[in-house]
Amino acid sequence: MSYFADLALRLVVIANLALALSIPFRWGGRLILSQGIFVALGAYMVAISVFRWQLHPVFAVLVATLAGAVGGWLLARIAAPLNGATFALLTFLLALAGIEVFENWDSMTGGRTGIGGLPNILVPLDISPKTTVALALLLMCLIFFLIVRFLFKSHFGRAVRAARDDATGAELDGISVAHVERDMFILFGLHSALVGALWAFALPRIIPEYFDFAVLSLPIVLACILGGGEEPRHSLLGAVLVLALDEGTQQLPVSPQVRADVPLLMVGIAYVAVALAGGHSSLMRIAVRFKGHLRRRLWKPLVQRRGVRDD
Amino acid sequence: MIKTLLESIPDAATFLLAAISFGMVWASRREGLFHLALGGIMICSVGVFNRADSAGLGIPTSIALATVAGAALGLAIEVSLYRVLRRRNVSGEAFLLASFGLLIILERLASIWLGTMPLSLEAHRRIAERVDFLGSQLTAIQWQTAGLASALLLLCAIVYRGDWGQRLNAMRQSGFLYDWRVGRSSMLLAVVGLISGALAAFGGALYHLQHRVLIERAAMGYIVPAFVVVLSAEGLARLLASFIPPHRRTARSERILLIPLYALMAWLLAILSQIVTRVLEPQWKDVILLGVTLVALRFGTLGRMQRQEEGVTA
Repeated sequence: MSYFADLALRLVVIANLALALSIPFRWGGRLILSQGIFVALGAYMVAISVFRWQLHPVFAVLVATLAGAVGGWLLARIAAPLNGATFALLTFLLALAGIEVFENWDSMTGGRTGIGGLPNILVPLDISPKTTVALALLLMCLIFFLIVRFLFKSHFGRAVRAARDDATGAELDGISVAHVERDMFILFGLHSALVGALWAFALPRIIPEYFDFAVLSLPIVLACILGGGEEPRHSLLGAVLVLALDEGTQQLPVSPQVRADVPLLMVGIAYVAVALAGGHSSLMRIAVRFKGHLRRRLWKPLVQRRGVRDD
Repeated sequence: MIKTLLESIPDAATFLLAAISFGMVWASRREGLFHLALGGIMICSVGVFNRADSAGLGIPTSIALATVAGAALGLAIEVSLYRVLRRRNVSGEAFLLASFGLLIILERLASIWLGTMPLSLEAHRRIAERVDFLGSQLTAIQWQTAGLASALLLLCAIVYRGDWGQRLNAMRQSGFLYDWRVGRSSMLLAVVGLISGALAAFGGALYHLQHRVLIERAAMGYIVPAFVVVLSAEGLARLLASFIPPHRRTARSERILLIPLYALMAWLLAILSQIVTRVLEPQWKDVILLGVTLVALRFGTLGRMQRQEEGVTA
């Protein structure tokens, strides 16, 4: 039961983070490699608010979410003028610097040993902390899925995609690209920090290792790429694929020491494969082609056969 | 003051070696190529060096083996991956993703091969001896590293002034024109990959000799200062080149200025990290380095270049 609760928790965390990243990455064309920092910000803020400032957990989650939104706004201020690989590299450096700060600011974050686990008082149910948090995150995932789905076809969603495809054209059409990008980053920061704040209630200790760039940010970017599309359902599909890849590599018959390295090795291989496929846009094309191929090979013959039987 | 200046020399030499190897690949694309995989090459070559040294082959042979391994890896990456990506004309982000992937693959393979980090070197009495000079206490290997880095810098300065520098510059401006007018750019890029890999491995081996212990995050500690040095030197070179009168300014002006600026920026960065280590606690050194890189990236050459391009487009 504990295994399934753990698996469910990981799935909803990855799904939520992939949903959060899909807006700047898939819609806005901004490759953000520092999502782990926003998640860590949420987790640490909630722990600091509960233990130091003696806030009620619900208010602590609100404070953490607000901190994430402020972080998103700062990211927009600092990095938005850059684009392409330079922007991605800047977010990568932010991720490295952020983890260094969390590891070394002993008086605030507890350094490498981190902060002790939070009490499970978020939902007063008689079930394990992991299951409680997994349920809360599942609910959040559903709510955000609906929000993102609504945003996809809203003016905001279209403006973000227009700014990505042709910023000058979008400006001429009356869209303020700077404002749209600011809102996009704020939404991303807010959602990521909220996930971190809720996840913190299921962690035995809040330590920087959980939010490391290679452990958290890289798989989430991979989930967004493997999802193969812009719509929220694609992000969820990507989350399932990444979790399956991770679980599959965990089951390989190798020594325990090697097993710790294999999941990241697979992520590295996946990144090289994605780059060889020509980046995310090409991968999306491959996914669409694959879907068409499946439909031709499996679905159509099935429908035709059924038609014959009906006749 | 003099003591700080002198004691920052070994760090500056390491930064410089990393920057020269990183800068070569960086210059192979017009908008710059972030070759993060150099960190992975460095880790793997240091593994070769460590194992060779443990087998009793001696320091010179171990360094030579590590350098050959680094060169082979650099060449393999260029030929098997970057050449394919160039042919497909992929975006800078796809290059970055590929480089990340390679960095992770090489790091993990090194971890599987070498077992648990940190790696430590057997004590070599001769290289660990301290040499007193103007109040500074540096080891023999640190002085030797500084000497080797200076010699390499001089060699680079001579080579960059000549035909090689001109070819590299021409290819950076337009690979298509280079192929048409001069010859095969793929050959030149293969040589760049080979030399940068060899330099990264050589620098890594010297870094390992200086620090004795190699931790798992050493790749980032090696690459990030190289970012700072290359980005800030590019910005300064561009700024200084603008002061050269137009009738004297050539396409080579910036590149000629670049090499001494690499040395200057590497030394300034090493002094900064020395000061940070003394004023704050040593662990904040990496944060400061990353902060400087962020500022260099945001407000330096690239940021300005992109804004100028956006201005032209608008």
